[in-house]
Amino acid sequence: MNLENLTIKKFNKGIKNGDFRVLEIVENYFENIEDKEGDINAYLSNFQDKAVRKAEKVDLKIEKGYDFSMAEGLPLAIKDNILIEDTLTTAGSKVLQDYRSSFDATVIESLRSNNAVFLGKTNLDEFAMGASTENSAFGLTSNPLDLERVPGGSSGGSAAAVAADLSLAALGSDTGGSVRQPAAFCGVVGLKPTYGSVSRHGLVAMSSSLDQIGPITKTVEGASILFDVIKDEDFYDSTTLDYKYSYAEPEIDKVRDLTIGLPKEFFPEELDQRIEKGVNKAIDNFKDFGVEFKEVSMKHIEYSLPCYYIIMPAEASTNLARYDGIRYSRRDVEMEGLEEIYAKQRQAFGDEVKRRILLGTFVLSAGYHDQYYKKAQKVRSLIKQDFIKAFQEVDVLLTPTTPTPPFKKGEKTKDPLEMYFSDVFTTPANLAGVPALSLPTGHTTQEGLPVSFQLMGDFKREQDILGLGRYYEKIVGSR
Amino acid sequence: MSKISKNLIKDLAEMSKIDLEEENYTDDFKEIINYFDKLEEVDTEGVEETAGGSIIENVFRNDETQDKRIPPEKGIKDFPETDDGFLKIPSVFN
Repeated sequence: MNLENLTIKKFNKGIKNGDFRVLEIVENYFENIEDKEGDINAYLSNFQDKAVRKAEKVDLKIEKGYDFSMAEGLPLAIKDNILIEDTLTTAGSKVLQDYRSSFDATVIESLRSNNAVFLGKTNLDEFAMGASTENSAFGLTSNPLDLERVPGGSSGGSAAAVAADLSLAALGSDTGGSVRQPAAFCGVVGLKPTYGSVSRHGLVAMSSSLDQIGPITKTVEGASILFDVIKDEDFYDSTTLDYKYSYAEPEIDKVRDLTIGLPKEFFPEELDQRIEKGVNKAIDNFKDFGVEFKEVSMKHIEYSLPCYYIIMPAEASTNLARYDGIRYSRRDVEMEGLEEIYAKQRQAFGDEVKRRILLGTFVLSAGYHDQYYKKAQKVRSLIKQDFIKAFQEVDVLLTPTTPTPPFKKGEKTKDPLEMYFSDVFTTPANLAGVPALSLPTGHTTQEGLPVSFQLMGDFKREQDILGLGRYYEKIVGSR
Repeated sequence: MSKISKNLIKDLAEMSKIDLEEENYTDDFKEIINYFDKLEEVDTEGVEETAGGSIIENVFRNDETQDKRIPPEKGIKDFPETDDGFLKIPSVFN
C-alpha cells in the first residue's frame, strides 16, 4: 500500500470498497514509524497494541456491514497536549512527565464515535510554547523534508507525522499559529477553526482566549472531513458555538464567486522573496480560473505580534499557576513546607515557559497592567475591527502563512524575539477569533523547501476557506 | 529602558514561584518589553478592551452534579498520592 498518496477520502473509499482493511493500513503506518522515527522523532508515545486491536474491531464491523461516516477508522496522531483517557499527556514538559489523563478530551470522544484509531501522541514545544518544537523537554523533531531543519511548532510532531506518512492525519492546537506554521513548514494542510467551534475541554490550556484545536492533513478535503467531526457545541466548554457547517457547501464550482482580499499589510516590502514568489503563484492560479481579487487595508495588523505576545503570556502565566506541585505529578516524599513544594515542581519548567510566565506576571502586575495588558486588549479590539471591516468588502483574505521557509535547527533558539517573529502572519486570526487555513503552494527553487499560503475567513465561515482551498487543490490538480 | 533590571526579574520570579538565574533572562526581557512599547503608537482613546475570545455572554447551568465524566474513584486513582480513598498531599505548614 502506497501511504504517500493516501488521503482521508481515498482511505474511506478503500475500506468501503474492500480494497484494503483498516488493519493493513495501521500496520503499514507502524512499519513506517519503525523505519523513520529514529530520524524524525515525531511521536512521544506509541499505542501500537491498542491501535491494532482497535483496527481489527473496526474491520470486523465493516465486514458485517454497516453505514459509516467519511471519518470511519482513521489512523491518527494526536498532539500530546490533548487528553486520551488512561494514557500519559506530557504537553512536552517535565512537569507533566508522569501525568495520566483521567478522561478523554471532547475531540477524542468525537473521533472515537467515528472509530478513530489512535497511533500515538506527538511531540510539541513545552506547553505549546514555541515555533520550532525545539522547546520540547523530550528531544527535537526533524522536518521530514530536510532533517537539518525544524518542523515548525508548536504542533511540530503532528505536522511531521503527517508529512512523513507516520499517520494519515493529526490533531494539533493553534494559539498563535501552532497548527498552520508547522503545516506550512512540512508542506501539509493545517486548519485553525473559528474560536469556539471546537471544544477545548481536555486540551492542556495555554492561552484560553486564543487556543483552538485543529486538524493537520494532506488535503484540504481531509481537513474539512476532520473539522466536521470535531466541530461541536460542548457542555464542558462554555465558549463553544452552535452553527451549521457542511463540508459539501458551497458547491465547489460556486466558490469561485467569492472575492479574495489581499491585505497589503501582510505583504511588506521586506517579505522574503521565496515566500512572495510562492504566494504570488497561488494568487495567479486563482486568477487564471476567474476568481476576483481586491486589495484591502488592515491598518492595525502591524501591532498584532506585540499585542499577542502580551495577552498570551498573561493568560499562560495564569493557566500555569495550577502546576503547584500538588495536583499533577509524583513528588518526593520529604519536603519542607509550601514554598519548597512549589519550587520543586516549577523549577522543572523549561526556559521559554519560565520566560513567558515572567512576561505574563510582568504585564499583569499592578504597576504595568494598564500600560501593557489593558493597552493590548484595546489594540486587540482594533485588530478585530479591521477584520470586520475587511469582511464587509471581501469574503476571504489571502496572505502568506510564514515569513520564511523552514529554518535550520538552532538557528533561532538564542534569540527569543526572532523566534516570536515566526508567528507574524498567523497571530491576527487568533486575536480576532476567525478561521484560517494554511495550504501548500509549491517549493523554493534553490533548496526545494515548502511554501504555503493562508486563507482567513469571516467568523464561523470555515466553509468559505475550506471551499476555496478545495477548489485550489482541484485547479492545481494536486492529489 | 531602565525599568527592566535584575531586581525586577528577581521580584517577578518570586511572585511566580520560579527559581531561576536572573541574569539569563534580563537582556531578552529588555528586548521583548522594548518591542511591546510599539503599542504606544496606537491611539486607543475611547476603545473598549476585548475580554476573552468569546462572543457568548452569561452561560448558565443548573447547580447540579453531573453524572457524566470522571467518577470519584477514578479521580482519586489518578491523583499522585492517595491513602484509603483520601487524597494525600505533602504537609504545607511547618
